[in-house]
Amino acid sequence: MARSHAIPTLKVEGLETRFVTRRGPVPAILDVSLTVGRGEIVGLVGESGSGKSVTGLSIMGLIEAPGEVAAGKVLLNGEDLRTVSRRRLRQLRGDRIAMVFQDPMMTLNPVLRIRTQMVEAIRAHDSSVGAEAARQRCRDALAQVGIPSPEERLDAYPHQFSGGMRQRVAIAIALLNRPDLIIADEPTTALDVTIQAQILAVVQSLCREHGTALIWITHDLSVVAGLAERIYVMYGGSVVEEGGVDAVLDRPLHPYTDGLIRSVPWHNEPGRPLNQIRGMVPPLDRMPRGCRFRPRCDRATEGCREPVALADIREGHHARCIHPLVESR
Amino acid sequence: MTARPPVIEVRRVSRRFSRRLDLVQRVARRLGASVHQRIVHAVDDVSLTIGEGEAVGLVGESGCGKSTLGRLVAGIDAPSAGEVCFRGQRIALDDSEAARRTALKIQMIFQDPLDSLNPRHRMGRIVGEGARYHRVVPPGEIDGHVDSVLEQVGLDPSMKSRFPHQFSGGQRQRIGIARALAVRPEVVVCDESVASLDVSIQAQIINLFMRLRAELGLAYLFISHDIGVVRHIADRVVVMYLGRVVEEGPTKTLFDDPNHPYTQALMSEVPRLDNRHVDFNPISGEIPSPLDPPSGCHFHPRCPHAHERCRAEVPALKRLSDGRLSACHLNDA
Repeated sequence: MARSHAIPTLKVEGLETRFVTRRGPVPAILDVSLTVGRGEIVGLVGESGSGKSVTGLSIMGLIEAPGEVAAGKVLLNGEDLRTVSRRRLRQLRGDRIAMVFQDPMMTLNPVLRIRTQMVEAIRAHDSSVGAEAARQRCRDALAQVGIPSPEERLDAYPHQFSGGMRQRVAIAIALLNRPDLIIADEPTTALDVTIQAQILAVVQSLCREHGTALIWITHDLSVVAGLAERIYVMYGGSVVEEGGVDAVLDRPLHPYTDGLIRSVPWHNEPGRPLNQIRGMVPPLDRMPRGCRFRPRCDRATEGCREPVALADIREGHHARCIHPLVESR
Repeated sequence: MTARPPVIEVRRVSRRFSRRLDLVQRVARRLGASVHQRIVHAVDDVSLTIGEGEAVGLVGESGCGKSTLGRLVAGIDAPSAGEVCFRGQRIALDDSEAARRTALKIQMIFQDPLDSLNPRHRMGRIVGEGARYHRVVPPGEIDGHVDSVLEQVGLDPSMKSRFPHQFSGGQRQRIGIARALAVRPEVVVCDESVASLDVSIQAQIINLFMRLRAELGLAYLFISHDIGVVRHIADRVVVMYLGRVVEEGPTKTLFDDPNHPYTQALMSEVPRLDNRHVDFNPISGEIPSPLDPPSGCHFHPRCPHAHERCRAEVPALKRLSDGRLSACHLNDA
């Protein structure tokens, strides 16, 4: 695994992002730490409001007022993105680190041809690239993500593509400068099953061939099961469990992860009642003290009212819980 | 296929949508240019039955016509050809007393509850309005009726005076379900009713659907792109592709041994928790535009087994030896 590598592609330590409201600052994510090695695919999984998207945006430095990154380090190849100059950050974004969103129209400008947008992405980072060379690279990138007749498609506008093709274009733009890290936030959620599988195939082969590291943010455990090597599970703004994909999905430690896995229909006998986690995620400004999953947890005790740290429970398999599911099941 | 008498019978139904030509196109046609009106066959000659208390799953990808078919069954939309029958009576979309009675018996639950609940009405009114208007219960018993329906779906009747935006996504979906149940339907059409919910909330709503079915003997048409959910809830599954049914059969048969190449692709490419470290190797090609569907079998441009006949001839939906239906020329070989 890539962890033997000297400097990981991305190392996030103790990241905290909060939003200032009329009733004072509310932390959206707290004490988030992640490591992604070269060429590694990592899944960041959580339900609505778990802070998974805020984590992605915080890494990219895309949090805007009233939000702010309040603490922590974001080390890209050892360089802290939180302390570098704005100029340097602009150099790195789109070049060494790129993001793909759920809605490709977040990335694409509806009134510009694909070619214009792609060439701009290349030249913004290297003005010495000539027009013909840039066009060549754009064409190759489109071909790489499986867009038929890329030469002609370069001159099309975003609305002339289907949803799946648009997402491919967004991925092609993210890939243009061969970044070290791509953060993909629910990129296939709006797509059909067969189209999703095509995008997953593209992304997987790119990571394998170019050693691009990938953070795949999703609410869907099943997608991550097939794609990722390691999984981070988020709940209430914190990472509650982290480990290899087989360890987390087959032998979950945190009661939340366990509940989530058992509520997936595929994991249940058809027609039987599904396991359900009672209650719902409390709003951010009303999060309970200590373990944030406590009010919904069957294993909760008085001790859960104290803050819990992410602990290494089985070799390389971490959980933020004082009553992890360690007995054999 | 089922011993239970059908509650819903859809007979060779089609629904076409056409876009009117704009002024320039009409003028061009007058002048002799070959401008054709573009017609979408959203549902193309589909037959379907739902037995008493049966749950039928309807799966397919964008543009396959599953939502349109759901609306035809629910009597929200009228077919261009064919007919939809409830207990042998053709569903009419007029103002007659009979049509209204039938309409009450078939209710629909939508995907996004926030889009289908009036934001200016309080929850108690949203749930009770249909029952009040149609005199499902005597006027004096409305409040008690609404309370009992709310309890049935797991909502606290003391929240009746709240507005839809004051509820969470899962609670709003329960309001949509309560509204449907308040008029005592026999058939419920669920169109992507759990698609927008988080996994843990989705499990709660799926459990609710299964409990209501057991308690009230409801028949479901369960429309979803999520075949894991359909596998869990449905007795029988219908697979659609570009307006046509390509395969239909008992859930277990269809999932264990899909016959149609499209069903096979759908089953193998849906992500599952147990499939780890997958080498993704999907079928290629996009879903074609329903405005311009491929000739013959609609699936042939993406099908790994396509041959000459598939391009020319539309495959008929035929019964196989194990009782299921499939529309593929390969079965004739």
